[in-house]
Amino acid sequence: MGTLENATGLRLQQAEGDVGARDATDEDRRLVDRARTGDVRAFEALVRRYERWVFTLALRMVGDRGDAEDIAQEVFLKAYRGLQGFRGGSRFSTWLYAIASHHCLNHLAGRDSRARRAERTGNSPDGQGGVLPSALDRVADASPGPDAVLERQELTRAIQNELVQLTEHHRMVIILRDVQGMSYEDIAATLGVELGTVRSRLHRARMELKARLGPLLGDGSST
Amino acid sequence: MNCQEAREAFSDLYDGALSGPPLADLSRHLDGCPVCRAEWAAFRRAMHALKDLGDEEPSPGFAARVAERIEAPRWWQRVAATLVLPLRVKLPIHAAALVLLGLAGLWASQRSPELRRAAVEHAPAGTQQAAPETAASVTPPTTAKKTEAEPQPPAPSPTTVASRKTASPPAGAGKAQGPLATPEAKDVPQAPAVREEAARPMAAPPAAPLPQPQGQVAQPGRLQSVPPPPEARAKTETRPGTESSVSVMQRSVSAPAPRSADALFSSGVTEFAAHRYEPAIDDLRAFLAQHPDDGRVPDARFLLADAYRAQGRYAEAGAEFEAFLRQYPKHPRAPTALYRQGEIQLLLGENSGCKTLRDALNRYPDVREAATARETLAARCP
Repeated sequence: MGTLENATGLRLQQAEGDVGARDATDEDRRLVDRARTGDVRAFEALVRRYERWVFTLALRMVGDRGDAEDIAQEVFLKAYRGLQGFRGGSRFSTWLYAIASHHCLNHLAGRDSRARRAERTGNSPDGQGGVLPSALDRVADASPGPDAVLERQELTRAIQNELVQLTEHHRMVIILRDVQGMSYEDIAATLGVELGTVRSRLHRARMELKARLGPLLGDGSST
Repeated sequence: MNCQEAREAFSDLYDGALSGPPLADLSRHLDGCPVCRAEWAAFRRAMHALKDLGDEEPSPGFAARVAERIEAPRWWQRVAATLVLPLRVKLPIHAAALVLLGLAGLWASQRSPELRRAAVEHAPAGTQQAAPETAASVTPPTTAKKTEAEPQPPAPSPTTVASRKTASPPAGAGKAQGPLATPEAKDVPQAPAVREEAARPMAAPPAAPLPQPQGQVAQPGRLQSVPPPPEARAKTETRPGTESSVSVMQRSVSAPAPRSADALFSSGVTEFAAHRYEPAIDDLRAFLAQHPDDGRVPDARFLLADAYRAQGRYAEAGAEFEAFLRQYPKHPRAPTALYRQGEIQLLLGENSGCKTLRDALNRYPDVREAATARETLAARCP
């Protein structure tokens, strides 16, 4: 059965990943030590190593590139200011991911509260009543055409839109696992929750997303 | 194991976290239950679609911007720095700054005709009459000196340049400059009004155009509404030390503004969608050349290849698809690119197209392009 192959492949990937992770951790440690002494260039190198990860997390969580970039910047600034408090008990990446995850959740909580306030005053917080479409999506909306790129962008936007319908905690755990590829243990450490919580949130998030994406992906039987 | 239990195990199954009896139970159930098998397939499709969203990159220079923000003092540091400076340091600095500011203002008022004119316009009426005449240089210099205490600045100001063009063009310039050529000041019946127009380069054209003498194409007051031909404009702009504000504005309007990554990419996609492949190719090539680190480069490369294909430029399309597949073998559009490459090779008369299409069918048998590829193979690759 394909599932068994899948499991074996995952274990092999994990073993290869462990070696790479060790190297990455050593390099991180060197850069962190230098950054702690005020070497901004060393921290800039750390930013370059993790900007993609942090930005992707933020983008998938909030759905807007501009917001995601602001969040990512704030995450790195927080990390820099907190470097003196980082004792190296965990990997830098885990520590940074924790900052990023909590910052995203806080941002969304703040946005929800702004949205509620706006609702009370009759204004939409972003002027569009939801996730702002990116420039590409606006193009896709304006020019539905036969080309494949537009179709893909449409699908990407649709998936992103469904993703942001999940609750924030479900969204966070499914992004960390299925977009960022983190292990259950790392997710638990990042979010500060039990392994069982990660497992149950992930299962619920996946089943809900499957049901939401079913019509988009042509699953007539999806519920 | 019933259906509910089987579905509860999907997440673990997907992660490869099942083994032993639970995995065997689930396998048996899926083998015997078509509904759960379909659900499991749908689950995997959804997970693959999510994974296909892939990583995204922030805009170029992100890390450098973070570093800049780190190095910039924070607001409370700036305030503190200001507050903690002792008075014996602050007072001389402030005093020196005030003196410098005053000197700069004085210098500017002497050098700048706009300021001088503004001062004149707000001055009593007697003085106000003389100012425009001085600016337009149509009154004898001696009169100007009488009415204006300030010495003439060594470099002609925008106003005087504009007015000088109006009042006294160089000998022979009437024909050479074409539309820019202006009548002698004495030929202009409403000279003060014209001078006022000239002094305000972006003012609206007069409601009733001035009568134009034979051979004159444009009145000075209409200079802004009828742009001069390029050669005349070039002549105006290249006169050393006499660049008028009109020419500066004309140049700023005509200079092409650099286009952002968003603008280029969006334009490329839009042109492509509208089947305008030539501009789409131009935009996408410009995007790729100017923004090689942008996260949309793979999409742009795919689209560029497809635009060439749509234009029948198969050699270029084939090269682009090949480069795309080499650089982004795991891109979601890689299956399509591989099928397209095979078709293009056949179109170019290359037998390798058969092999490419077979390879594509082996690797991606379930995509939309597969059916066409099978027909192509049956027809052209016996």
